[in-house]
Amino acid sequence: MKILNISERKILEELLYQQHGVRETFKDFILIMGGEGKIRATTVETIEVAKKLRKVLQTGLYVAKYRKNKNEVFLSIEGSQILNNQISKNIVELDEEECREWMHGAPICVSINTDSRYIVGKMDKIYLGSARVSRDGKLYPQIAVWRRLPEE
Amino acid sequence: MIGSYVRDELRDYLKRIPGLEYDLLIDSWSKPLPEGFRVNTLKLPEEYILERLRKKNIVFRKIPWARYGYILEREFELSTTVEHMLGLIYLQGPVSMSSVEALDPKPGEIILDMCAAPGSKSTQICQLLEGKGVLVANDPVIDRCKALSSNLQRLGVYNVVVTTLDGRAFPKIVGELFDRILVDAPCSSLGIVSKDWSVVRNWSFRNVIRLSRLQFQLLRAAFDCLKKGGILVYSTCTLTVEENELVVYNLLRSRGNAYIEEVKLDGLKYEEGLIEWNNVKLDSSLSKSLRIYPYHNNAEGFYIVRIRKGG
Repeated sequence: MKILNISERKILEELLYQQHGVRETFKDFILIMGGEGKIRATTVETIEVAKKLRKVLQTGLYVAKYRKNKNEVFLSIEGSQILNNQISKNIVELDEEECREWMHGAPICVSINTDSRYIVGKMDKIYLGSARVSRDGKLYPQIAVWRRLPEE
Repeated sequence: MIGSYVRDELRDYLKRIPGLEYDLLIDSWSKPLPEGFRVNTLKLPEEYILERLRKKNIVFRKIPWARYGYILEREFELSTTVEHMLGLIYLQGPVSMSSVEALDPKPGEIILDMCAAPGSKSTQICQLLEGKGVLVANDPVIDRCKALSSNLQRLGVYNVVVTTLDGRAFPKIVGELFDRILVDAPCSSLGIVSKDWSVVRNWSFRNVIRLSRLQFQLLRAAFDCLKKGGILVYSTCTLTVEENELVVYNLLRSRGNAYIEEVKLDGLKYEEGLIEWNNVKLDSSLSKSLRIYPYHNNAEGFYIVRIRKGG
C-alpha cells in the first residue's frame, strides 16, 4: 500500500485541473497508488484499521488511473461520481440511449470540440467515468469488462 | 415435486422442529423467491433513483423491515439495467437484508463482516455507515473476494478494507477492535432451497455437524474481537437447530458476558428461537432469536440473533 505523497498528489491535481477543471482533487481522501497506475481513495481511519490487519487484499475505492509514460489520467465511474459537479471541462452530456451504449463499452459518436485525450460522460446527475477520444472523434468509454451491460 | 427430492433423513429431521409447518415449507420451496433490491444512497438520493426506475415502468413496493429495501411486484430483469451496472441499486433477497438491520450499524463505527462474499451485506453495512467509520470485509476464499471487491466498487464504497483471513484468526491479530460484527456464517442453506434444489438432495446430518463446529469457532472468534458493549449478529440461511440455537447456546456457555438482545424489525414474520431441543433445555434467552421460515414472508428462510458483549 503506497500512499501518494504531496508531490505525487500535485501531479494528479494538475492533470485533473487541466483536463477537467477540477480544483479540489479528492481533498477529503487519502490516495493510494496500486498496480497498473490505479489510484484508490480512502479515509485516514480506514488506513489506520488496515495497518492493524493482515492479508489485506485491497483498501478503498478505485477512482482513477494514472499513466506515467503518457502523463495522463482518467477517472473511473466512481471517481467521476465523487468529483461530480467539480468537473467543468471536457464533459459530455448523454441521453438514455447513449448512456446504454457507453455502458456497453461501445464507441460513441458525439460531436465535441476538445483537444483532450479523455472526456467524462454524464447523464443528468449520473457520472459515467472517462472515455478516450480517438482521432476520428469517437469516444471509447473506459468501462471494465465486468462492468459492461450484457449484449441484448 | 420438490417433496420427492427430500430424503427421509431430512424429512424426519424437519418434522421434529417444533413450530415448523413441514407442508408449508415444501410448498414454499417449490416457488421462486421474490426479487428484492436495495437503493444505494451512497451514490445518489433514494427518491432520484426510484424515480428513474418508475420511468422504466418498474413496479415495486417498500420492504417494511429494511431501510432502502424494495421488492419487485412485476417481473423485470433488473440485472441488465444501467442502474444495476452503475451501482445505483443492489439486488438482494428481502429477508437477507434483515441481518444488517438487526446489526444496525451507526456512522463512525468500526465494523467487521466476517464472512463477507459476495458483498450484499457488506455494501448494506457501508450504506448505513454513510461513509463514516470503517468496514473490514473479510472472506478467506480469494476467488469469492473478486465478487466482493467488484460489488464494493460498483456501490462506491471507499471506507473499506478487504481481507482474506480465516475468521478464527481475528482475535489474535486485532484484539477487541470492533464496535459491531456480522457473522453470516456458511451453512447448509435450507432457507434458500428455492434457488437451488440440490441443497436438499445433498443434505446430510453429518455435514450439519461439521458446519456447526466451524460456525461455533467463527462466532466465538467474532465475540472475542468485539469491544466491550459491542454488538454481534449471528445469522444463517438455514433451519437446523445445530447450526443456529445450539451454536449460540455454546457461545453463551463459553462466554459468561454474552447476552442475547431482542431484535425488532417492522413487519417481518418469524417464530421465536427454540429453548429446548432433543429433550435438553437450552438458555431461555434464545427465545429472543428469530427463526424465519420461507413461508413466513414468502421469501428466504433465515435465523438471526443479536448478542451484546457485557463489560
